Amino acid sequence: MKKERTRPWVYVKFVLTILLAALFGGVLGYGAAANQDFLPYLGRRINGVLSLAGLWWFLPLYLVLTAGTVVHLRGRALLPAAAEDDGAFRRADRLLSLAMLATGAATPYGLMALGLSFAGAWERPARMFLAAGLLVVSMVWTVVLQARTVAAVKVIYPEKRGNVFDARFRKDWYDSCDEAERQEIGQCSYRAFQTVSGILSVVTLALCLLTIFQAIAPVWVLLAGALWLAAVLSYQLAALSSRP
Amino acid sequence: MPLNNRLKELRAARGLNQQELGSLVGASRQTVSLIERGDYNPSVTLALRIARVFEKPLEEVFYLTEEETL
Repeated sequence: MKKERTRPWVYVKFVLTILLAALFGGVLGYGAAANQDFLPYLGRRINGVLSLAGLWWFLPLYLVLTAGTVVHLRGRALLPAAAEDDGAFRRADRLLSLAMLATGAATPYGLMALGLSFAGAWERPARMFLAAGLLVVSMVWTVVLQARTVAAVKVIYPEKRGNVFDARFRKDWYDSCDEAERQEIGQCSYRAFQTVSGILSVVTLALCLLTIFQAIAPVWVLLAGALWLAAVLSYQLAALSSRP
Repeated sequence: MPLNNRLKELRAARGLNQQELGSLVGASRQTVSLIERGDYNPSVTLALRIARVFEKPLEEVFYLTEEETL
């Protein structure tokens, strides 16, 4: 077996990264401490700007759902040819995957849009009802698009199982995947874990500093830290339980 | 290490399409297509199942090229 080569530059890079992070944290902390009154003011201003957009927060959601519907219809149109033509099969598969991507993004963004459009709207009940209505319509649209896309995917993958209206959908779908598809799911999950962990580590650190200097309530660092912990623990525990 | 195969040729000789071969070996059409293109190396179990469908020894379906053989 080949001996692993040691690269001294790795240690230098590691120390430099720690020093830079400490410097950045120090500057940020000093800035937060020196501007204790400014930070809550900045927070209120940001909230004000976010609530200005109001119901327009729903516009990207409806654009994504429209785009998802268009690619879904284009993918479905290829289904009759996909049975014989390998190229049509691959194009249909890609278009239907894009439709699934749109439906996957729609639910979290829809809830975000609801929260943001509600900000500062308590004095305007009409806006609140409209926002709730827009969310309900988008959710119905999402579920219908998801169900129809899954039905279309089953035409080119007849071995696939699962009903989107069933709580066991993900498990049934996974169970009907073959070894190559499960490997792909594993690779995608690992990438998602890396992305989410990376984002949450930076967010938790920033919120931690802001909490230390009393710029924000401690609940925010608790929330971000708990999410980060959940991501790391669920990954590590799953890895541990898969060992014999 | 890329693994070569004669899947497409053997499948055509049997008059099977990718979907039918996939059903016989418990794989999707997409996976059969990936194996044929050399974009996915099947597990030993799947490779043996494929070889069994064609009634051939494993080495006649899957093989390493000369320079890759140890």
